[in-house]
Amino acid sequence: MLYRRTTPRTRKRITAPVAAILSVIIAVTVAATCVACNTRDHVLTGTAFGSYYSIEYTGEDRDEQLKTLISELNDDFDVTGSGDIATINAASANTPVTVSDLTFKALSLAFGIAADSDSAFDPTVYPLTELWGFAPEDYTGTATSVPSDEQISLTLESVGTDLFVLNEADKTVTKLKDGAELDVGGIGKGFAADTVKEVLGDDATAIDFGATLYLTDEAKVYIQNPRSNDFVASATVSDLSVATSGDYQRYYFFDGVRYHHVIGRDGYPAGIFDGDPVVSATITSPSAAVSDALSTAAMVLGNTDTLKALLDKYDAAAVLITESGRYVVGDSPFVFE
Amino acid sequence: MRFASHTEKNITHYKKAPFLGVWDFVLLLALIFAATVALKYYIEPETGSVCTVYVDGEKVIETDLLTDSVTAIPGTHAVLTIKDGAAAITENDCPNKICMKTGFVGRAGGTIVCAPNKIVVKISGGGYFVTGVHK
Amino acid sequence: MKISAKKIAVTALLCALSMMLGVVESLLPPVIPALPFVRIGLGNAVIGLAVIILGAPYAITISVIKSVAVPLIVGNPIMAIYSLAGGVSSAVLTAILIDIRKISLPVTGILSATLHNLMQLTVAALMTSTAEVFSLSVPLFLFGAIAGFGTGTVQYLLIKALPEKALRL
Repeated sequence: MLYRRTTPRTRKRITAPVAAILSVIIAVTVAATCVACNTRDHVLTGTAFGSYYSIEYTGEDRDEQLKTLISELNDDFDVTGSGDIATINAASANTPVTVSDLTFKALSLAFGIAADSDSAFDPTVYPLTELWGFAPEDYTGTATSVPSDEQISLTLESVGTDLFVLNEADKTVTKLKDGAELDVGGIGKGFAADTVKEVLGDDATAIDFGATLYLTDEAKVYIQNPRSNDFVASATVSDLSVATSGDYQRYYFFDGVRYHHVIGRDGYPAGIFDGDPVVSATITSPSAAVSDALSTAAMVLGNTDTLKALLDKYDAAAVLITESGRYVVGDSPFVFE
Repeated sequence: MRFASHTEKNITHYKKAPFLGVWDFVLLLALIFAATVALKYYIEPETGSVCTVYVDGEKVIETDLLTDSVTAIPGTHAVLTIKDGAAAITENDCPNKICMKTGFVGRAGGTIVCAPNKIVVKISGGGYFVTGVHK
Repeated sequence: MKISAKKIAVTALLCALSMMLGVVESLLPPVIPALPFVRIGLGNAVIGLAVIILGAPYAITISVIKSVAVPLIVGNPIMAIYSLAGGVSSAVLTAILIDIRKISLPVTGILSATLHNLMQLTVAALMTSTAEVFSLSVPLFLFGAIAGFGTGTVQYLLIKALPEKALRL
């Protein structure tokens, strides 16, 4: 091997510019790696609304901001505690309750869908939810009795969107009858997902609030089989929200009959008097809050023209599963396995 | 052996050699680049059936479903059991014990939630999502 | 090849020095608790020096002897497998890198240390039949690189400081 000798002078002439170029290359490399490090994928997870959430996004770290936002929504939507909804529920008739802007927005949306669905989705059914034993503190998965027809009729009198007045200007909610109560559980997760999506904009990748999803980047989604531990359908979606309601999420058996938490307009769990009720409804639409609410409405309405019209109105599609069949209503991306 | 003739040249060379030369910078840059790339892969979790347990939003357990185990969930009185590729909460001091009634969950997307104790057991992996999991 | 008695004597000296350093290192608590065989590698500074003043064959011999003797002295014979795999391979790499005379000693130290650790991890993976050990690789390689830079710098300083007459054997 050759060993070339260089004189000190020649070395100085070569090393100075070479060192300069190398420093620039090093600086650029370090800067590039720093940038790459900061704009990597983030995954924020936690618990809210009685379940977990997982938010995948890119860009700068906004974990703290998102955690604060979700915590606020969680506390305000909680039927227990002292947030907006709990305050409304504890208030007496004709007492205006001021709520946060986000809570008001969620309630306006909920009441709007209630009106469009003729109360198939109804945020005011909480008195019935409690009566049937599905309130968070009471639900055990078992029951020693079920409400009587008389109790149900009586409780129905405290249910209805006409029992509430929403004042846009003051952001107040006033109940017109003692005992009327609100529950945004049927839209809360979706609303949270939409709000997070607004905050993140294009940086959002995938938002998951207790299996209510908003997927920006292309992703594969499976629909859970309501009766066994496998999947019934799958789809590859992007820029779409997916939400499912089912009779297997909160329920109990009594005297061989399954009673679940999605209460219909007659005061009974949706579909229990039907021959072939919907046991699982999956909605896809551009808004997670809408998908969430319509999944409840779909269980109440069943596979009918009314449901189809409602879905069209909100640019949504549904996959309905009954004990005996599977149906697709509208332009759904899902394909059965 | 041919290496022997090098000692004289080696001594002369390393006597005069600078602390770091041109090629050193090149090599170090390549090393840093490779290290950063490796770091990116190291930090990203691998796909595969992973069971993650969160208590009050903090990740406290992350384990795979391949090895059977019985672990206490830190910060709670609950116990996580992994058996035959599925996870379940087998002990808990919550009032309604709905989490325990959920039984064993093994598919990706499956979850067990204990709302009073703020425990969430989530099975992830496979890079896909599931809608309509048992709440 | 010039096998001189002088060279063999120096080899023996450096060998003893390397073994002593290895034993002292073993007495220190492990840097990474999960990986007890990761050490600072002071003994490797001797190897690099040996390559320069004695030649590769002598240096590699020192490495082999050190890798087997130190574990036996310390009382941890299993460690010999790790030491041999890591030590000999890194000694060979050190020899090659030093002989091409394009890379400085500190950087050679980094590269040799990295190879040493890589081989040790591979042996660990083979012994436990799992790939789990590689999950600890990041702190391992980082520490190894720093340690390698350190031993390489020691070699650099030694070569600079010692008079040429003493180095030529």
